[in-house]
Amino acid sequence: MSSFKLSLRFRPLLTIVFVLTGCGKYGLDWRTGEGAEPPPTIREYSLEGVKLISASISDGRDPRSFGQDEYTVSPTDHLLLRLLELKSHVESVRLREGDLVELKVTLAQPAHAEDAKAELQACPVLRNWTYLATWENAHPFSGQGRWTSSGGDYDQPGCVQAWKVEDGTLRFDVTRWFRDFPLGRGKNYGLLLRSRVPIAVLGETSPSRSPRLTWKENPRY
Amino acid sequence: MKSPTIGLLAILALGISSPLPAWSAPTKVGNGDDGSDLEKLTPIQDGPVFQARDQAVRLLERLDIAGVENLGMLLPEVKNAQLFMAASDVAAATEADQSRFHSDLGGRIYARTFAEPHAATRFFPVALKLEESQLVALQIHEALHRALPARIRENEGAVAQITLSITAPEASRDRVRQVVAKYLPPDEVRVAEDPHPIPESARVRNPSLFAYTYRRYNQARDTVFFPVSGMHSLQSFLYPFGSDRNPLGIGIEASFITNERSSLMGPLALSARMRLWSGRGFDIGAWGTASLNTLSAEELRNSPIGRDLATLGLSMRKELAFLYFENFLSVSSSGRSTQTIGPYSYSYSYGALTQVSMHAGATILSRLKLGAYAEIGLADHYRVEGTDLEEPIDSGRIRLLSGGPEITWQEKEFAVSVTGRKILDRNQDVSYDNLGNLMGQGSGQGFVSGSLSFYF
Repeated sequence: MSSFKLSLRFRPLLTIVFVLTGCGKYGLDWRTGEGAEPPPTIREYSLEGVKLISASISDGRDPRSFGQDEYTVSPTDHLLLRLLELKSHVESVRLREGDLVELKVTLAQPAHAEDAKAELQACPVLRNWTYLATWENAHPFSGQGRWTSSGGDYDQPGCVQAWKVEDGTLRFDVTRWFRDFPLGRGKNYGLLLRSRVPIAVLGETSPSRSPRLTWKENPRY
Repeated sequence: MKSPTIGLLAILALGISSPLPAWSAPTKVGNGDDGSDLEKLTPIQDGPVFQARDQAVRLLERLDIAGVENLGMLLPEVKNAQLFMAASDVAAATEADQSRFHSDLGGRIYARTFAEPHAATRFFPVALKLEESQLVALQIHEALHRALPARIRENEGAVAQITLSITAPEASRDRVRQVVAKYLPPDEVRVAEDPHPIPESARVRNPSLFAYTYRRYNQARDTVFFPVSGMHSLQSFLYPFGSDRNPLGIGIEASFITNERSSLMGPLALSARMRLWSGRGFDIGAWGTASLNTLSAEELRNSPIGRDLATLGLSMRKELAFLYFENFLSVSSSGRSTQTIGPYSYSYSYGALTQVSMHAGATILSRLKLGAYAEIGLADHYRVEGTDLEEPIDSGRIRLLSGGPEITWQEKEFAVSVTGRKILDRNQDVSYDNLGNLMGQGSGQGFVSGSLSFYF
């Protein structure tokens, strides 16, 4: 009896053994002969750094600029977004082909989702900013806190529009921003949301639909 | 040949000894410079005049006259002066000669002397009719003409008063001192000795201070650091210790902060102070101050400028007739403050601050001072760390050049002043807020202040 005939006879038994021992999950794939990885964990973090900077608000401590249920993004109202603890997760983010780092923003009026998809842009912020940021200043601690351009300093070429709309939630592919800034430069200045027309989005106080970042996590984490 | 020579010498001798015309030399009080009483003088070695001198010496020793300022030479003049008796009386030639100490009712001179030290006293026969007490007074009177300072020894009225104070039955050393001081004030002596006397306007003369000051800050329009629009302060610096040239004291300064929304209790500054009038005529001040936010409002304590700091300072001022110059040097300690805003907290770190300033100006009408000043402030660092800051904000070393005008109307016991301050140059885009010294440099881009001060 040849070894080939022997392997065919014992295939069912081998299959049972693989399943019982878990080898089918982590060990050899009997059809391809390659090592099989477990499915990645999808991480989703609500952004606690949400700050509205508006041409009509000069005081960084104005309560209209933070802690709101929703914000209106317009040509004179930009929304600064940042996950403060992102740098502690940088090494865990999986960036294989097809893996995305996404920004999820939920519209206050889902009926206008298609308009919002065409108008809303998420742009990488280029300056260190703080909770007390305003339309003119990234921070008030010194004269160096002044934005170079009113409304915030952001990377125009790096601005992206939402690539998908799901149930009133816009999904922005910010993988390039993640590679260039938090991963590449070690700088997490967050993102800036802008629009040419007024669009209302839910704020950080929403329990399940607040702005958030999502990515796939490497298995060993 | 000889006789003409001898004759010529005799003529010269007579010419020297002959009486000088009254118009050729001034006549001194009580002295016979007309020369008529210089002839036929006999030394007095006994008799009532000689005995009166001993009485006078004992009187002066009993009064301890040597310890009276400006009469230190009186006793030697009485004791050691040569006494002569003229052969005949002479009449009083001037009004001063006719004083009660110099002549009798008939105008005959009792005695004369030259108003210069170690001169002899010349008595005339009419003096022998005087009683012993009168002779004692006469001896002392003539000696005073020689012993007193030059500016008063020929003042017959002053010499007479001093003589009476010595020879009066109730005479005492204190009484003599009082009379002498009336004509020779003690301050005149000290002024002549001090090359840099303390002027009336010097701060060291009235170092204690009570003042009210109001500052109006110039804030940048788009700054939301910590809004302070103005500050009221009350200063009370009292100098109860030390001396007139080196007073020591303690200072208290309370402040009240105003902004567009509210008014807040500000820092409290406690200080130890010293003033000194130097040997070269400089008015020097030194102080150590602790600015505390212990009593400040909660909003101020929870702010970037709510820190405690200590300052050591030194000032040196020189007042001339029409100008004044003053330098200031101070060093303030480093420190930290924290601020919590909503879910985030910030930590502010201030470096040590060194500050020097130069003030100069003109004094007009001895009261109005118009001047200006320039000030350089150097801070080690200014750093902010926050829970929502991606990275600390660090300004590095800060250099601020400031300046402004100062106008003061100064009276002896009060002053009104107006001062301005503005940032003239800086190495970074910073403001006074970044120094964290509200009681010192203040806030914003500068200020205008007015103050009313009382000195005592």
